Formats: sequence, C-alpha cells, structure tokens
Amino acid sequence: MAVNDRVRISLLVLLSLLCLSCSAESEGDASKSEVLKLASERVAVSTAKLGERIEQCSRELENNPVPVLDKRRAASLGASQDDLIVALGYLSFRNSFNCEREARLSMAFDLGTLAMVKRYYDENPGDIDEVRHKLVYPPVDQLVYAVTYSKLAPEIKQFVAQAVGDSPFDLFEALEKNDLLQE
Amino acid sequence: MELLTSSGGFSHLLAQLQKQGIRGFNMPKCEPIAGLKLDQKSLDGIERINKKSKLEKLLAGAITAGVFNSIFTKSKAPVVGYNITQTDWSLYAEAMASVPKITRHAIKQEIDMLLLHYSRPGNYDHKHVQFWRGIKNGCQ
Repeated sequence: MAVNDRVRISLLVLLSLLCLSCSAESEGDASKSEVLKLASERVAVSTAKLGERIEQCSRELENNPVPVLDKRRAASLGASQDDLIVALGYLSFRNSFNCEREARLSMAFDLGTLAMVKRYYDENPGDIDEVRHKLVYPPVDQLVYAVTYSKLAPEIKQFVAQAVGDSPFDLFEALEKNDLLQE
Repeated sequence: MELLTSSGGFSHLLAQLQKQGIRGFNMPKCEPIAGLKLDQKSLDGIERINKKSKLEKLLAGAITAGVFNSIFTKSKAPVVGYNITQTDWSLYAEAMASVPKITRHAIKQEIDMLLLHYSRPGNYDHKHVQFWRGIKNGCQ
C-alpha cells in the first residue's frame, strides 16, 4: 500500500474516532433518558402483545374440541388413571404455553433489558425481575409435570400426545370427558 | 359458605379474584364446605396468587413510568408544556389493558395446577377440589 494511502486511511480512522467522542460528549443525560425511554416503550409494546396473544389462545382453547382417549387402548397399554391425568395435564400446559411462547419470550426479554438498563444507570430496577418471574414465566409446578411426564412409558406418552395434538384444550373438560375426575 | 380459613390470606385472595373478574359466566350457588382445613399446598398457592395480584400494580407502574419518561424525553423543556402524542396514549392504553389479562391468566394457571394436584389419585381431596373449583369457576 502506498504511503499516501496509509496516511489517508489513518486520517479517516482518526476523524471517525474523534467524531464518536464528540457525539458522546454532547449526549450527556439526554442519552440516558432516551435509552430508558426506549427500554420502557419496548416493555409496553410486548405487554400489549402478550395480552392480545393470551386472549387469542384462550379463544382457541374454547373453540377446540376436547380430546377423547380410547379407553380400551389406554387399558391395553397399562395406563393408570394417574398416568393419564399427568399426561393430559402436562400436554395441556405445554400446548397453552407454546401458543403464547413467542409473546412471553419477547416480554421476558424486554423486561430483562429494562432491568439491566436501569442497573447500568445506577437506578433501582425495583421489582421488574419479580414481575418477569411470576407473571411471564410458567409456574415451577409445570416443569415438575414435564419431568413426571417424561418418566411415563413411551407408548403411553405417544398415545395421549397423538390424541391431544398441539393446540390448546380445556384440561378439566378433558379430564371430565375421559372419566378421570373423581367426584 | 362455612370455611376454616387461613388468616387474612384467604380474604385477600377472594377480594383479589373478585377484582380480577375470575368468575364463570354463570354463577352457581356455592356449595357449603364444612370443616375445610386448607393444607400447606393450598396455603402456599394462596400466597403465590396474592403475590401475583400485587405484581399487577408493579407492572402497571413500570408501564406508566415508562410513558411519563417518554413524554418528558420528547418535550424536554417544561416551559410551554408537554406534547403528548396519540401514539403515546395508544401504546399506554393497549399496554395497560393487557396488564390485568396477563395477571388473571397467571392466577388461573396457579389454580389449575392446584386443581390438578388434588384430582390425582394419590392426592385426591374432595373438599380441596370443591374449594378450588369454586374459586376458579366463581360462585355466590
């Protein structure tokens, strides 16, 4: 590379760095406010979207037919009442959660970002993390059911999963319709 | 409804659930449940539900603070007054309308988990099922 080119490139790099430092110096407090504003707006947007999505999935749940299990097939597989309750329970939570998943992920991310930004600017994030944990994430018991379901015999899992499908459904109507509820 | 209840927590739960509008369309009469002693699982559930109800205010507060922050940032100088755009209001309204939906749903999930627990053969408890079913479906 010719010496003139090197000098030119070096000057360009130096100018860019100077400009960056110029803009940083001129932002000051306004930059912090704008960043907080952006982070908060994102939370507002994802909150609105999650609320909307929850409603859509609830409507889907109400409109979807309740899965009916073939009792003879269940008996031939040796599935106990508890096996079927666990399977229907887990799959009901899974399907509902999957319906809302993207919206929940967005809101969890945006709340986390807002908390991070507040800490970055030495502001108290308050209970943002608790809001995220308790309102956006699934309850721990759902994960307990996921583990319990995973331990069921593969053929029982396959049998119930095939009957249920991937769409949200009303769990207690399903338990009732399949005579799994005690009175 | 005759209930043996935990102190305070249950009354607060009922008040919160009523406020949330967690009730079915048809409100059947509550069947009396005599001698219900809420076990630890239910008491823990009540505590979690009460906490979730309180978090609704925090989320609403975070959104409100964000909108006010937005207004202050856009219009900087307090001399003439703040310009609040339609977009500010629309976003605020949509977000605030969603907050109770999210909370209600989170509470419903807790109730469903409890109902499922008490419906299982090893854990079956008729009174607890009646109680949580009444809470979930709403009755008078």
